Amino acid sequence: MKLNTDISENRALISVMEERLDAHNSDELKSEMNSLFEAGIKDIIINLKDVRFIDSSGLGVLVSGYKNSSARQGSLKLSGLQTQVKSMFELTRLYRVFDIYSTTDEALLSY
Amino acid sequence: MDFMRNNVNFLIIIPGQTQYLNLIGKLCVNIVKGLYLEKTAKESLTQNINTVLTESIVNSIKHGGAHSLNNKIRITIKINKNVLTISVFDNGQGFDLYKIPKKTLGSDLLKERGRGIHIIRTLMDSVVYRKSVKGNLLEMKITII
Repeated sequence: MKLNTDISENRALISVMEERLDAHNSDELKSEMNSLFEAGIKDIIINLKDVRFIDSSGLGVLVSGYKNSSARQGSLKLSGLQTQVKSMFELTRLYRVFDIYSTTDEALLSY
Repeated sequence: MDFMRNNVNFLIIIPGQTQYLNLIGKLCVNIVKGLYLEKTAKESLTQNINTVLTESIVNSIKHGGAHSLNNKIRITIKINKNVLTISVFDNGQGFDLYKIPKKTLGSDLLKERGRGIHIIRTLMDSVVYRKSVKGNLLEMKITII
């Protein structure tokens, strides 16, 4: 899985550079988030700009990240959701859980 | 929609491994591309087929015991008149679909697993599970408007 992680001011921005976030590759995103949490980073933005399809496994990994960051008094924010991905958040009502921003710049400005 | 022209009958057989999900996703796009539908209906149908196929294949791999190269998953996609039928058959151990509570999506927002079958139930008009000595069949239908 192609991921790009930038760390600045003790916050991380993970860009998922894949068209699909599904049962085949989502564990790699979970490992990346867990490594950051273990390194003491509590605030993460996941940039989903390139993702055109997400399944329940991908959603589950994002929920896991959300719970992990919340347990550390941190936050997990999402940015750049494409229409198809947004519709899965609406279908599962998960838009109620996450802070979702149109762009990573907006997500960064929210801190 | 021109029902008579949208006669689709595909059979796909894949090994029980998640690496084939990407290929299935591309097939969905190409199958729907050839249908006589409005652009928005095509986009919605592509997303729905892709989602229910991904969820049911992963279900077969994780819970049906199809997680090996030897175990094959057999998928049929049919459109007859305006009814789309997707069948996913595996020869694994199986699971009892009817033991899974019919929760509403969103009733337990922070769970990390178990959304797949609820997503399928929400997107499709009917979902039937049959278990036999040969394996497990998940049959899903939706009327295309």
